[in-house]
Amino acid sequence: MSKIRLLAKTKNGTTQIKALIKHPMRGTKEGDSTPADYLREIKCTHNDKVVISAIIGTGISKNPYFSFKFKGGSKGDKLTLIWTDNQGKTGSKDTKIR
Amino acid sequence: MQYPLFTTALSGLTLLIALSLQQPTNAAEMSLEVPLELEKPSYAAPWKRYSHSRWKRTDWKDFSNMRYERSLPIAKPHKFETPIRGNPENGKKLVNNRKRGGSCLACHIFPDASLPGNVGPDFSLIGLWGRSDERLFNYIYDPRKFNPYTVMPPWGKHKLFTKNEIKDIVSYLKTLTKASDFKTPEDNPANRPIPIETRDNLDPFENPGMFTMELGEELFTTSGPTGKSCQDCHSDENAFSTWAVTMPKFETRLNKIIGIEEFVTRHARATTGAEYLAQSEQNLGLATYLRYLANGQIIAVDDSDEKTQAAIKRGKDLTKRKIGQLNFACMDCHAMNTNKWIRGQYLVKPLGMYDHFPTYRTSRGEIWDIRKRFQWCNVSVRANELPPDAPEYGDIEIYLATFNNGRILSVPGIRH
Repeated sequence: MSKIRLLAKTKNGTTQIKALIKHPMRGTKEGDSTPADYLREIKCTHNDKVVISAIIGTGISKNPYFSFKFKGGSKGDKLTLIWTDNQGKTGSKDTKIR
Repeated sequence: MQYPLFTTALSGLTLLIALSLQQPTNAAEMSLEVPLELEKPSYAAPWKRYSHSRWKRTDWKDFSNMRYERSLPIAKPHKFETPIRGNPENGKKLVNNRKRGGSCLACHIFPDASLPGNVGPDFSLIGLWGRSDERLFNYIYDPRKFNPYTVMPPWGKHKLFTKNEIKDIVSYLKTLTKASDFKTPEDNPANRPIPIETRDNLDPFENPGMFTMELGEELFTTSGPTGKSCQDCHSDENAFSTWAVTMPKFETRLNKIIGIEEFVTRHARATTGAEYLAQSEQNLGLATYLRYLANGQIIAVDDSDEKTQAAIKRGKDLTKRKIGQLNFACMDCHAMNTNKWIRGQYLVKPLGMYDHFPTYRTSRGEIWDIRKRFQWCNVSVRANELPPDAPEYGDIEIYLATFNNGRILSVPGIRH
């Protein structure tokens, strides 16, 4: 089960986003038949327009934390974080800019 | 007019007697009226060691653990008529080999070592110490003959190195006759900066352990198979504002110390019917949440009754027991050698070890309760661990908890 914690705050015309995703980020290991399960891509949209998209892999820690900024954004705007994993599953969370 | 006054005093006395009769156990012990399931183990039986991550699979049944003592007798010194002629190059490799119980560098400074420890003496110039080959061999084979208080493992007697390998190590030690400098300032343990945890453990973005706490909060209001939830009985908002700082406690019916984790399992079975097995996500969730509610309170475990005091004494004795293939006691590292380094790991005092559990370990990406931490310590010194609800762990937990009385609870913690 993946969970997302998402916070977006705007100050002086810049929006700061903090995200913590609960995810095992498991790669393959010799002698271990557990299938790999890791995030492939994270994407963030502001009013349905992509502001950041990142391709990631098994080099990223378990339960990864991401923080980034973009210019623009005002209070009350819709912000969405979307992830896709290597098995094709996706998850997302909406929030409003504070 | 004196008569009614006398009745009031008398009835007050009666009330007092009645109150004291209602409580058969000491306040330091768990009340007999608390519903608990008492028959089954609180973990998935039979206990199996965790198979993931770095938990070694070896069975160390030939060595002592927290349940039984099987220490091998101290070895008789070997006699050597001629100087030992081993292979110093192989000796150097063995000294650096981390797979044989952590390498000699874990405790001793050697030339060119990266991040050596400083629990034992500096060996940079041991070749000039004038020790005979025989003495060096026997000291490595089993140092207990020479120093009964040593914390060094009996490398030969406990079969971590063969006799020929120890001969190679002796030959290598004999070559160490020239002073050498550390490659970097941090390689000198005397200069290495002491690690200090500065992360805000209660920041939900900083500590993924807060996900676990939230799961517990959710489970608290979730109905179990009997149709009841925790909240149905514990509806008072402040019901748990201090409970967690009074745990663990002596449980008369189980005749052992019961910690919050085991309590959650047994109490839920007897009330909501939910099965929250030890070390499951749900169990950790509730155990973390119930402590979270008491965050900021001073740890105040009551040790006023005999049974609790006896448990604390047993726990203290267990922390002095030499266990495992490496023959370490808790106290060897955490009392006799605190503020020293084992390679890059800094040894701390038992004070402050307890108040942040369950703790999210960033090196594992998992939240660990105190019992799992004990199990990991045991496996690290190559001793078989016990199931999480073992009475021995209860004794150690209450010893540690009362030792930490007065500290402030802050859960979930975050550590490396």
